Amino acid sequence: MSAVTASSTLQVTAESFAPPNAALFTCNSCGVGFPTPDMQRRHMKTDWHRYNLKRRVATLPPISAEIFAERVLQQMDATRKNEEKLSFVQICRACGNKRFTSAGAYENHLSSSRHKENLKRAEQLGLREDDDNGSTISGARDHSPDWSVTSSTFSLGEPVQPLQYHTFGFRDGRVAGGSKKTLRRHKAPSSVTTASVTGDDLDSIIDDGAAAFARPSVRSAASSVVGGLDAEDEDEDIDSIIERKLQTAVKLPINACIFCSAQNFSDIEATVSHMQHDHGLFVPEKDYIVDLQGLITYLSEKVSIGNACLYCSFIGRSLNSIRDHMVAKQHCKIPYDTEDEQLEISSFYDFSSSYPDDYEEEDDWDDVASGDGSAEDDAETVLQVANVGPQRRTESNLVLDPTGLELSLPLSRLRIGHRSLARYYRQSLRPTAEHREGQSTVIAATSRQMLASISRDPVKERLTKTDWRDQRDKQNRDIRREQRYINQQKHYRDPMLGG
Amino acid sequence: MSLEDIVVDIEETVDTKNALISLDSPISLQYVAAGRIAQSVLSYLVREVTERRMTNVYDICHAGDSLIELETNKIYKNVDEKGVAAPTTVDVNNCVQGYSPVNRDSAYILCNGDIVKISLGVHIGGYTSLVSHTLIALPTIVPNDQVAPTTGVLADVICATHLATEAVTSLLGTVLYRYENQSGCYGNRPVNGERIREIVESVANTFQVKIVPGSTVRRIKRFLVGQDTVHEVDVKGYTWGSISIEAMTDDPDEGDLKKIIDTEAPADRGEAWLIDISMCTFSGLESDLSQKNGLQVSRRTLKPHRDLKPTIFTRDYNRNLSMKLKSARGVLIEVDSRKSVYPFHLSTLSTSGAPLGVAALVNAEIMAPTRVMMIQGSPAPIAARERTTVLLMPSAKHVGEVVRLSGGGIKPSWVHSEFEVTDEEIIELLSEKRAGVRLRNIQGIEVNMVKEDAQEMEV
Repeated sequence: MSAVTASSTLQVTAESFAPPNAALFTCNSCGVGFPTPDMQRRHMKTDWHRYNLKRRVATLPPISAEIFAERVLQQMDATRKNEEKLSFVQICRACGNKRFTSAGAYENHLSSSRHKENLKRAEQLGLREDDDNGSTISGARDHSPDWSVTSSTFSLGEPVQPLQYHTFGFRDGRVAGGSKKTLRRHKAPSSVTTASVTGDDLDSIIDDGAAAFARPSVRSAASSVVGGLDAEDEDEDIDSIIERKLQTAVKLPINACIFCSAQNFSDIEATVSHMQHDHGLFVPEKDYIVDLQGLITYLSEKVSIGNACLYCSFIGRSLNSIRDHMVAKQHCKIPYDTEDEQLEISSFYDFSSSYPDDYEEEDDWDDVASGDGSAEDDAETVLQVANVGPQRRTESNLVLDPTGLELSLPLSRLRIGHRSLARYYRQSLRPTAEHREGQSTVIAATSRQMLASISRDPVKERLTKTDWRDQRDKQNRDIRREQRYINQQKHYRDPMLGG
Repeated sequence: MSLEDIVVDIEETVDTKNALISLDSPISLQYVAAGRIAQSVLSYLVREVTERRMTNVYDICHAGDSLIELETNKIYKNVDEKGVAAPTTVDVNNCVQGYSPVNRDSAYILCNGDIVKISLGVHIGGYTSLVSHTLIALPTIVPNDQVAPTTGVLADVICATHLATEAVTSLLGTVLYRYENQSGCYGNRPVNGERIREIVESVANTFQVKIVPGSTVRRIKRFLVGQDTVHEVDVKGYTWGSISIEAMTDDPDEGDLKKIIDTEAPADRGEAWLIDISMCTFSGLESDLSQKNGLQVSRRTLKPHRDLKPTIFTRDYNRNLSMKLKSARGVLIEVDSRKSVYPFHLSTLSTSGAPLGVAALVNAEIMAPTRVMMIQGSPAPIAARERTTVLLMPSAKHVGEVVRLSGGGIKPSWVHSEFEVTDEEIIELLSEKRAGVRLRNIQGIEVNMVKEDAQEMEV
């Protein structure tokens, strides 16, 4: 509901004081009148009038302008209050980033004993300087149960994984949940404070971690795991998170299996072979892989440092947990379906041997600049220039016929016709006669009209004409004859005669 | 070569392939070569008949065809289409066209006093020379000056035919020398179909003979010499009705005649013309000259022979049908691949069951027969025929000359007619000077039918 200006309200009110008889132009649904038609028209456009119309539809009596204005202001207040209510988010850091979406709940929590305990613990660890309540409003960070970094107090013999900031950088920009509870494949619910977590931050992370031109390093592998940090959060940034993770990560040697505890394979091939046989890991595009060791290292880092599932967006709490997840769910596979997935590991491959022969590596940029031909050609060339992703040995210059019914493949010199003309392609016509000179001269010299006029059979014509005449006569005779009886109806009951 | 290609280039093709530039040009040479062979073979056959060495018509026809094949194979080796343009036919007395028997045993044997018309045609690369000659088969071989000439209607008809042909040849020649002054005019009148008609009919009138339908004087082109199956668009000259049954009409002036031929277009230099005139004596049915038909034989009297089946066929390349009969298919394949656009003799087909297949094809109108046409009447009329091909040849040195490819130089029969030409213009055309026209006759060469060759040719 838009605001009704005071002036318009006043104006209307002033006008409505005029006696009804003086007002020539009335509005019946509002119960007002105007001296000029202009004013009436203006009134019709206002919100007040519209509201009165609605009231009339609901069989309610109309309201005056003042009352309408009051209501509007009330409504504005109410909506504001509602919004405030809805946008309320408080996160209690001390209690492991517990989120509260209502003020009442938050207040209650603050006064709870549990929270007070957590506060004490935080003070002991001296990790942060929080606000008075020991919590800050932070970004859309979902929590994970273990949040302490220095593991000594909580160590149970096994190294504990550091804080899982889960927004694992998937290529398609998905922000994935870290724990089982908050496992989501869509963005966090909209809120004022979470609005900033998207866009730039994620992009930077993604670029960092998934740069196709650079071989992913350990840092990038880690940072690809590390999630979107809210800009508002000053206490920690990605680098420190990465550092923490690296410190506490389990170093998986190259001779160890990623998915189980098997170790000490003779070489990388044996490892891969074990993974293929026992866990079903299939290395895609084996023909084109250049750096198998790098690929395996990358994958193992993903699992060991980031504790991320290769196939889905699950983030485990520890290496064991992610291993269990992958084995149990049979996710021991490298995703290779979408382009982003392919791009992710494209730096370990070299597909240049699959490019068509006429493609010259050196003239990458020239090709793009001087590209002529169809738009498809240019698109294809650009793709090749970027050298992105694996490409099969495909036709690079598909040329579509102007009619749109034929596709030319210059490489294999094929012409593909559209299925709508299939019946014509299937036709097998008699081969055209190859005439010698005499025949062609004779054929060319003959006038077809002459043929038609001369080669008539007069006998046949005469017979045909006779036939037609006979038929016509017979028809006439029949018509004459049937006039006598054709309208006779044996059981006809005439209504006039009482039928 | 598809039809579209032909249609697009037709103007160019026709002109370049038909224009006669000089006697040395390739086209002219091919014409002359064809004419020479035709003349040679005709001379040979005429000699054989007059000297009584050949009396069986089958022998004559067979010899003629074989000789033509023999001679054409010797020359122009690179030219693919050449040979017989019209199978040798021997038409006797009231037979007008088409008799060339298949069996020797059932063939006609020439009798004394028969009017024998030997017709044949040769082509090399489509450049055709057609020739016909009429002679009387005489009982004794005696030098002509010691014997009285034949008289009567026989003489009339032979004279009329001969003189008409000569007059038309000279008339066409006048086109050449009048070129500078008045193009295509002789005596201030253009040399066109109408003029030709006048001349010929005047001669026929003088000698009191009738003109047989099928007689034409027309311009011919490469491959287009007035075959039954070809209905050309632009033809000039004159034709006295059509001998094919389908197109025949009683009244020569009505019907499709005007559409067939343009009688107004004048002859021009650099063209090849066919002069084919048949005349016949009056039959018992119509003896009065003043009848409606005038000089032309009426349809009632010109009919195909009841018993003699046609043995000469022409492929109509405008019709293409798939035949059910196996022999018909075989014949069609053979004809399409080996035969040209000219009529061919049934005996030249090597497909088994050829007669049956051919009959089916004729039924389907894929091939047109050349029927054996007879003029009926009592007494049966006698028909004479003269056919020549001439080139209206321009020349660099002189005005130009008429090159008579075949038919010139063969002496007419020893006849004497009581009538004579009275028209002055025709007299001028027939005189020694030929109204100023230079005439060159292509002479034949000696040809010999060696028996061994004959056997080979038979296949």
